[in-house]
Amino acid sequence: MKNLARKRLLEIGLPLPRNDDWMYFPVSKLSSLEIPAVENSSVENKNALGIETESNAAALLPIAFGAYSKITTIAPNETEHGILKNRDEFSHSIFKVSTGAKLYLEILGNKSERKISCERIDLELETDAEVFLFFHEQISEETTHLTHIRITLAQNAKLHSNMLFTGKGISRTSSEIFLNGNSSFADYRSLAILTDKASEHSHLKIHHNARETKSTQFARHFLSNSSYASYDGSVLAGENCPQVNSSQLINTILQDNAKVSVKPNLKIYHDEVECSHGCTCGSFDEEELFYLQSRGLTEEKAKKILTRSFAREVFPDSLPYSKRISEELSKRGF
Amino acid sequence: MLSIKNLHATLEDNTPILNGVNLEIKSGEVHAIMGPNGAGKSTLSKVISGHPSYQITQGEILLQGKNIAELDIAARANAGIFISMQYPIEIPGVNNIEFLRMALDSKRASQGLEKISDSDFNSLIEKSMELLEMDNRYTERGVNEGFSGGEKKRNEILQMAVLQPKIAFLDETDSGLDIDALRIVSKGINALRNQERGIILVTHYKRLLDYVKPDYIHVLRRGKIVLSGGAELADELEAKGYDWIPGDEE
Repeated sequence: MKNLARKRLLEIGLPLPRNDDWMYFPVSKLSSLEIPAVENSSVENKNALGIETESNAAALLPIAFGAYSKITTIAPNETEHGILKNRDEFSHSIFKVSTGAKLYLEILGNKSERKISCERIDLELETDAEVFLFFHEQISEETTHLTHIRITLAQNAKLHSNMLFTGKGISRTSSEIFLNGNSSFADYRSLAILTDKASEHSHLKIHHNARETKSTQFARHFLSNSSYASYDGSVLAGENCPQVNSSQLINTILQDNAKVSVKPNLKIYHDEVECSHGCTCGSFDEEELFYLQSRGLTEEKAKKILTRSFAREVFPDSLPYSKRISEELSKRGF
Repeated sequence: MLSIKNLHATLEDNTPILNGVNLEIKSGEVHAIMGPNGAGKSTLSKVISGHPSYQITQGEILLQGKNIAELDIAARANAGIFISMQYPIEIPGVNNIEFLRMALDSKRASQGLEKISDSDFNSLIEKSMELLEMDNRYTERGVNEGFSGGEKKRNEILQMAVLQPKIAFLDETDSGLDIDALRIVSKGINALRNQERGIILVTHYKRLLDYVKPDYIHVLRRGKIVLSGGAELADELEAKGYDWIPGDEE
């Protein structure tokens, strides 16, 4: 697989600013990477994990640079809880979730002290499998981290993805979700709380490849100082996939000199599809601030409460990781 | 207690809204302000509480002799001004009771008091909720989250009960209330009526005043009080409207 990834990476090259998928990311941060040469001696499994046709360099980098692929299988109808905490410069984890199995997976951001680190996670959900994901990116200043998460879902499989970004460095998290089985479902929620010079880039592609599939995206950013976030979310509804339902909502509160870029992208190839998109960007609501202050709370405290409300709405109490996320938010004063 | 003297206020674009309001509220008194739509009733409550969309161009608002117009919104609230909103906002994700506790602790801090103890706070909440016949939904949800219009109004009176203001300005507290809810909210207001507090009711209808008997009724029109009288004025206004009132010509 390593050679296949190297071969493919040499074909597509490292990302450039003119690549649509990387237009918001400071690609110059990756210029120090040198793609290793293909080793002739290896015999490889053709197109495993879609590598031969992969167009996202972030999906290829960890494997091409020699990450050891660790495979974990959840047996049919079993329930497993796990924490993934990679410290390597390049890492690759594969989770195979068998029929009817449930996986609760907490992915803690890479703590590698290297200037650049890349991580790939593959999740394969068989029929009726269900995965609850909590991903927390918290990289330190002066570091750049790429994460690629590739998820395939068979019939009736369900994905609940909760992403929290509180890092101080530069991160790009690309997720590619394939709803390949009828009635499969993906819920993607993300919250970025960034400050100083933090820069976080979410890149999401949801492929509706079967009938009656459903996806929801709910992303919020709270950005202050000189932080920057981008959200590039695509939904692709295939031509033989009726009754697809998809929604996308992105809200941003901007303060100081912070910036956000949002790019929704809907590609619909079937008439019987419901897709919605909404996006808001602004500061605090004046009436909400007034209401809180009229109860005796200072403007500073009122803003803190509204930020907390804004953040906590992404992860309602009914979600399995809501308590865990709530703890992380409390630690940060939200 | 509250003395409003020749109060003039405008919107940010200098459009005049209040044109010389004079009002004296003594401790223990209940005043009702009535008037046609657009008369400036809600604006008066917002100006008193310090809403940033309005600016005072002339006059004074004295609370126990101190001009509160110079204070910011929170300081006015902590000094004892409470405004029950016509349209209370929802704040999902911030627990209703936690919010009340933050507000109460903020007021106590402004008075140099320590934070309220768990037992005192729980007892205060329990007593106040019982008065307003409120169930656990009010403690479990976010501030006004998913509440009906009537439930939001009841929640406003709960806040008043907990914060114990010196002056409570209740802006159309009866709007959106069904018969039972009106009775309960009125019961709450009457229970909070005492010699330490002045209450100002803004309303369009006499029905609230049947439950909460005012000492005085004022008619506000075009940003000015044009008529004042006793509780009997409500019947006259209900019967005759506002057109007959002298001094109200264009």
